[in-house]
Amino acid sequence: MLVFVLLLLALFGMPLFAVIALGAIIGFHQAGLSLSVVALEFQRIGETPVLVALPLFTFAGVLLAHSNTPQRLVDVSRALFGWLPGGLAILALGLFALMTAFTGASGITVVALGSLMLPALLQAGYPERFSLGMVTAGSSMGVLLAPSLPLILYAVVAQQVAPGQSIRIEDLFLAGILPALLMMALLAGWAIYVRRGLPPEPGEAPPVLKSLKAAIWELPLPFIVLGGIYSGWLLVVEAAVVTAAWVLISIVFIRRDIELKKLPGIISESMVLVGAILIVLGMSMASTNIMIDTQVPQRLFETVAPWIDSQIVFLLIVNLLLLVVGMVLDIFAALVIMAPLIIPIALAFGVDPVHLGIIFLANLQIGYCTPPVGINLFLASHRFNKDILEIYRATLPFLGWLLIALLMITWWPALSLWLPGRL
Amino acid sequence: MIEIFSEALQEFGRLFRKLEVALLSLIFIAIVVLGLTQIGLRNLADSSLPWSDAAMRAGVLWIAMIASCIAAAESKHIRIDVLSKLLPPVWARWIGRLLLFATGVICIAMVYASLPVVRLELEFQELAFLNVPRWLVLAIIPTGFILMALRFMGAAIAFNPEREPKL
Repeated sequence: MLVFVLLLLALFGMPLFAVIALGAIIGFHQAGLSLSVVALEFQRIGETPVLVALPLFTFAGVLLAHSNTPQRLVDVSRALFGWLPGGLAILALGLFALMTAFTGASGITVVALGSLMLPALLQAGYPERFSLGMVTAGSSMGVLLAPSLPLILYAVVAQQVAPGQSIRIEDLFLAGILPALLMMALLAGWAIYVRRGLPPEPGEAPPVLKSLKAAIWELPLPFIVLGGIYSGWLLVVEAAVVTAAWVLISIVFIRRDIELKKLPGIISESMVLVGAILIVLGMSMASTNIMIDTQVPQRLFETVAPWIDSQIVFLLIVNLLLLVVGMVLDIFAALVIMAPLIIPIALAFGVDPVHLGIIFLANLQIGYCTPPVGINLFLASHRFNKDILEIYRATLPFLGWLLIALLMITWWPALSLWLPGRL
Repeated sequence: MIEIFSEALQEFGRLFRKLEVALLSLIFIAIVVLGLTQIGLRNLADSSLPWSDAAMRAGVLWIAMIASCIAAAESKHIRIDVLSKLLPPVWARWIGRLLLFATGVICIAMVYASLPVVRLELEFQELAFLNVPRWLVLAIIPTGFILMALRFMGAAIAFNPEREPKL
């Protein structure tokens, strides 16, 4: 009954933090516990070390999106790799992945990079429908790559729900690499197939040296941050500090892409994104606590266990459920609401929590571009002035490839677990 | 009389928003500077500021609360909102106002939930970092929720729930 009321409130548009807070407050009250426990749990957003990375990465992403960096990156990639068959589409995928991994928000990528890549793809002779789909679906790439915020957030939630499992962020960062490459490879293959028979990509590639020089401040960043994290030289939070400082200094002080007086506005814009995530996370820490106390996941498991006879059936059901959730819910909200419920059940079915994390995020990533309400679809429709139905149609083939990738990720745990086991 | 009052309120609201953005920027820049100092010290001087991690975490809590207040004013909190689009507009508006008001009430409940925690810390007088006591760090929670409650309720009472609330 309570769940039904909360769901109704959420579906009618009550802010999610308030819905979750209400659930937690009622839960603690029914369990005869003090309301202050809700606040005690909530204040842990100020005690979880890795959360410091959130505002830093988000700020860097928003500032980059406001600057001329996307244009410079497009130029330098075209100059270096424009000659590859299907090269531009493959480059687009790589750039999208890089941008989304750093900002954690696929929506920023659609708006900042998509609007640059779409004309470039059209100019290179790709059909319009293909190009629209590539930009809309391709922008979701990168959710599985370090230092993406959803990966960090999954680790935070998983550590809370299953403290005994010692789930490390570094493992998730490694686990995401091959699945992300698989998704990109499938879409790239599709791009090469579509491109076959068309005349070679026209349009002059910008001169190599000039564009390299123009992007001199951007190019080292991924190497420092990703190299730093994967080699263990930088902690996640330190990598976030370096990223934020690097972007701030290079864009505002060296290049002057953005005037200093606009900085508070950009900080505020990015912090509002972070605050909206953190307040939901804080409330969900409280609601997760009461759910575990009242053994909700265990009872859920006992309810579903007789119906599900194998791990793979369970994972397929999780896939279906998450695809639907990913359609209607923001990725961060979906994470903090669904992960605490699903992780304990998955552990009972013997699923590796790191593998589950990759499945989880792959689903939510696909949810970005699933009709009817995937956010990328709306952003693309709005940004490119196209009818939403046209965007649906354009994205559909890409969705098919992503679903194939999802099934492979689900069936084949080694794809996710091989790398973390090695390093 | 009412006009003067409402103008004064608007002016106050504008000033207050500037204050929020300034505070947000200050805390954010402080986190970046602290983090850089820490990395520099660790790698170059093989030492560290023992208090800086706690300070950065406290900064995140403050950022979360202040940014949530701004998000309340700009209706940027994460919501789903699929059903109200299916309702006739008049209904949707009234339900929207009702839900905004209810959100305000929930924020007030959070104030009640968090005040005892702050009071307890006030008794313990424990330090969060340097000379900053923990109660001061945590005080942002009830403060933020009071502000959010005011904004959500203001938006509920204002004629158009989509319009930015004054405070």
